[in-house]
Amino acid sequence: MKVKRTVLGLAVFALLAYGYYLAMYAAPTEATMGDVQRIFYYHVPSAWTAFLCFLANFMASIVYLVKRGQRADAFAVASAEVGVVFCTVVLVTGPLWARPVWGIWWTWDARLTSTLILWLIYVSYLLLRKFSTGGQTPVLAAALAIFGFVDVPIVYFSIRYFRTQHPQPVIGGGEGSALDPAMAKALLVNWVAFMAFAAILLTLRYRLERLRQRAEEAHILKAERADAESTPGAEIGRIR
Amino acid sequence: MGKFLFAAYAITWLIHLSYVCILGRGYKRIHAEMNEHRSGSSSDESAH
Repeated sequence: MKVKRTVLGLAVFALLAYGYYLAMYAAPTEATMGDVQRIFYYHVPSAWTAFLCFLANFMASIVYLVKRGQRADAFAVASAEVGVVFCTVVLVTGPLWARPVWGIWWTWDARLTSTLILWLIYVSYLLLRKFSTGGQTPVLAAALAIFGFVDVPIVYFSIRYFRTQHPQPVIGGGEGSALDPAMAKALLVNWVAFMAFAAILLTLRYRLERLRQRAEEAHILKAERADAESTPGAEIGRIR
Repeated sequence: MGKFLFAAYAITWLIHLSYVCILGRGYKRIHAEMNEHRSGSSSDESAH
């Protein structure tokens, strides 16, 4: 099992390194923006990966509300956390591209604002899970996740339905939207690599959450036992 | 490589590696907690 995990880890690392090579060296330099356009190969795959993580969180939250299973709850929190990590990358790499190209770090247009709101929604989801102590926390978090996911299609379609400063889609954007095959290859390989890396992070975080759930159950059980032993009724019962 | 391109790639991996470190610390903490719990429950049993 350990060998399998190591091989899988090395394969993902090799894929990420190949993606880096394609993005930095093999893909042609964009005519108007120059080398700074290469940020696109990390920015866009990170955004797509974050969207898929939030979709996984949405589905796990529905499953949790229907079945109330701990596995679904663990998967929901893991996918939200990994999604926030990738969404953070999007929000950092975007302004780093915008500064040399637009001359500004940030503008309050539909795509940028809706992405920031998306990040804030899932950060608030994680804060709710971390600092709320009531037994209803997973239920409240699942409800927040279901409503929060509404922002994902808004972010995705914002550049299609609103006039934004953000570039128009280069894939699936209708007539006139096209990408050089070498650029498309670099984008696709990086996306697959980021997805594989996200899957590893998701698995690690899911296992950690399951361990935390078991530790919490053990604590509750121990506390209940101690409570039962300290009550007079329990003492009498034991003497008899 | 321009400074913006370098910054974007460096910060991306800094974010990812920081998260991996946070996960590692989480595992370390939970294992310590579970070991403590196990040793606590075994000492309880021996006391009985």
